[in-house]
Amino acid sequence: MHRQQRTPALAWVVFAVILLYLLVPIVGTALYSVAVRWDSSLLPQGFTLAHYQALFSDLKAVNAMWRAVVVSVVTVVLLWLIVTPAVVAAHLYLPGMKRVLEIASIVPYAFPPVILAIGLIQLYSKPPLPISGTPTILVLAYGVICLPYMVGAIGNSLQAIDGHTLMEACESLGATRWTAYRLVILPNIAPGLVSSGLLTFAVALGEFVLANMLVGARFETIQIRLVQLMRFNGHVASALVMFYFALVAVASLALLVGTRRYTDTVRGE
Amino acid sequence: MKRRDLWPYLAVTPLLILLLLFEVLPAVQVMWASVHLPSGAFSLENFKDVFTGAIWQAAMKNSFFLTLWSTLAGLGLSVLGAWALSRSTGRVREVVAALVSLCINFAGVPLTFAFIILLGSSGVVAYLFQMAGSDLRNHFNLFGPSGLALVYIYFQIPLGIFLMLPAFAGLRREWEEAAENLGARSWQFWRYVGLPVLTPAMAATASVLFANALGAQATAYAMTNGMMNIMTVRMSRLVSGDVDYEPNLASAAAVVLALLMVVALLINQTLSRRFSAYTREGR
Amino acid sequence: MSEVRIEHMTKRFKHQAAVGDVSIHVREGEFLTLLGPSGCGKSTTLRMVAGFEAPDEGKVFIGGKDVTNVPARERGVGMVFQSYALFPNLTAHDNVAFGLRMGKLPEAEVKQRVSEMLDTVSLGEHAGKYPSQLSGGMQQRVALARALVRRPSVLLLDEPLSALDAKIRVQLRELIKDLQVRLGTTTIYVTHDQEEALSLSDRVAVMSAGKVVQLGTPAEIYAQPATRFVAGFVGTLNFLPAEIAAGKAVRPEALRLYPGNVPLPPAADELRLAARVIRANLLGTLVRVRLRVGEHELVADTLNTGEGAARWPEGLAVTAGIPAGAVFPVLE
Repeated sequence: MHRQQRTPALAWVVFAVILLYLLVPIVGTALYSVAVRWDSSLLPQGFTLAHYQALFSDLKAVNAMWRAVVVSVVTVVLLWLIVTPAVVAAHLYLPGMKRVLEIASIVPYAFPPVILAIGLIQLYSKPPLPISGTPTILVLAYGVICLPYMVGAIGNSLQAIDGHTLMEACESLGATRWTAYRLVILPNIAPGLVSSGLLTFAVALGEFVLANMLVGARFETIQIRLVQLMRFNGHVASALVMFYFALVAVASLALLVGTRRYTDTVRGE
Repeated sequence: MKRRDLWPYLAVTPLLILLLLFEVLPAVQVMWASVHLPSGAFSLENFKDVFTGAIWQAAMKNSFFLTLWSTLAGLGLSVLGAWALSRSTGRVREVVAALVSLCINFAGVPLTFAFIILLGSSGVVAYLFQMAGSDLRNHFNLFGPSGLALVYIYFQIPLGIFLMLPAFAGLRREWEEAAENLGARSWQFWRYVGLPVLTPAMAATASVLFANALGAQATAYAMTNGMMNIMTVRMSRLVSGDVDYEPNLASAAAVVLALLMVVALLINQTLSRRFSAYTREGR
Repeated sequence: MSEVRIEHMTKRFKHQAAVGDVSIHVREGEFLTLLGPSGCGKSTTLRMVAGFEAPDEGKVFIGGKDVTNVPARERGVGMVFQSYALFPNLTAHDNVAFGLRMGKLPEAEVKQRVSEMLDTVSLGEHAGKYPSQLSGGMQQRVALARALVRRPSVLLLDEPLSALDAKIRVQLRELIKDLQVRLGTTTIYVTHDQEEALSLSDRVAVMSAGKVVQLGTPAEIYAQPATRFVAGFVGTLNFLPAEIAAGKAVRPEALRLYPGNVPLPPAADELRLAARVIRANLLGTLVRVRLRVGEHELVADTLNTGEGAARWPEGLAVTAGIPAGAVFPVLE
């Protein structure tokens, strides 16, 4: 019963300006990655896939991709294992803990990666826990900076399904807490877990500051290799950018489609 | 009963340990280190260096202006973008929102590199200037503050748009209709109702963008290979450089930066609350 | 004060008619209600009068003037929304003053008229409060004041009470009627609540699927519903079984119940049926008794004599009397 809407002309202008700003650098990089040469012409001179070939035969780059993917995946799994039970317990049984989690989720915003790294380097370069420079510290640091997404997503899911009532319903039906958690709570918050997991994956894959400051050349990830390639061969570097971007784009598209399908299912009840 | 009640505590323990080791301790370490000399003696020398050293002062100034301009420009474009999205219809809205959210991931090093390809000395824009008989370098230096600001604005836009979208969604259609019914023109609605209602959300968004830009390091580092004199780059060089390892000084700078971020976030919180008071259903 | 004439108005949404060829003449000073279920086109009709929607066909005249193409802000009609639509950044006073300030009235006069109006809706002492500090009922009173302070020729109300609690709804209903009578403003009121429609209106237009199915005074609508739809929508109705009186109906309160143990009074043009009580529910003043008559069910409302539902125990044999004058025909 609302006024029929048409996208106003001014909105089109705004979209044009913003999308031009946002998409030209991406399209430019994509063109550069398949250009034979592009330094003294309006459009690339000749197209080739040689840079992608070069990228995938660059052992350092390939290793960097694997390392980045492994670090990101491990971060996601670690967060799932640690955060899920904690948030569920906090929401259902420990209201005081909920406040702690809220604060812990704000801290990373006030505490950007540079500051976190400055603290971590000083703490963990020496015994009893000399893990600076290892992938371990990277995974744990990523865990902390991605914590807000995970805590937020799981908390929202629990709120949406009214976890408290569900848990009580289960217990009144004779289920133990563990059974209820496994069979009722987990399946219901799964969409939240997947979406925050994909987000964490994307953030970890694109993270540079912590990787550079905490491990740097000792454990090169995509971003570190990219900085080196930038100065050495721009075309191969842009091929790496496109490969990375494709990885992340697939993750976020999966997120978008998955979220829509989920909300459709819930609404279609 | 007692044993049963232990489980929730067990469930939160691993997370608490992670938080302690990787959030609380680093914060304490940074604060402690900031007020001590490498010798271990208590001192405010580090802060004195940060506030009075010429290079640090310049770094603070650079950081501040870079942050300020990218925040203002980013906010302006985000508000327009969020408005346009809120006014567009089904399919258009979906496609544009998807594209914008895709660009959230195009940040840091890859983004910097993309700008170098386009606007660097051998980029296509430089070529266009050359064709027009001019030199891009006379007008614009990608590797200076203005170039960096251009990159910063890029990563502010998607974030800003998604922060502003709920605000525009909260701007109810009936307010506009009520204003129209009471004889107001479109601009009068925006002047007396629309913008005042959006103001807290805009200020809150601005403070997030401010913190976002202030804490950014990757772009500037990648652009200038660590030579750009802004707070975050300078701080990182003091702990990861082999030449000048001065964690105490870096920590003092980190404390200053963190305080600025906290102020920005407090402003955000206060204003967000104000906005939700405006738009909550008063029933 | 002006009359409103809606002529052959049609509005299509996505090729489907939301309002199809509606013509209504609202007389000067009249309180007319558009009554119908959600999606029947009543709000769309109102919004076309307000100027928020443009009709695809047909015209709107206010005070004899064709306003079909006049922008909403120049129509001089007052509108009250279901969701109040108060400006959240302005105080109650400034909300009410908004329309007057748009009209470039001197500030002194604005102040005076606003405070008079706020006193009228008994919100004088809340003038400085923001909408979020007011209850729903208060907010709607501010909205009413905001619409009326401009002395509109026509007042439009779009389900103004739907979002409120039952008790406040009745209070506010009385206030709306008092103000309307006092100011004599031509009023079009949209609701899906039959009680509001019957109690407030001079005339009611019952709408269904984009059309006006019956237009008449509340008494007419109630006593002689033109169609089965109107009858079902306004009040409760017994459709009489075909073997008794095909195509006819009777209101529950018209039925008379005689318990089996009481001698029947002499028949006075009354159809009498043997019935059994299925269940009785106390509604307050009335007791609603569900009866079984052969294979059919009837509902009878009887006055509560003090015993409540206990007077009609389940299975009690009764005689149901249907006065011939209370039976009326109903079209499908």
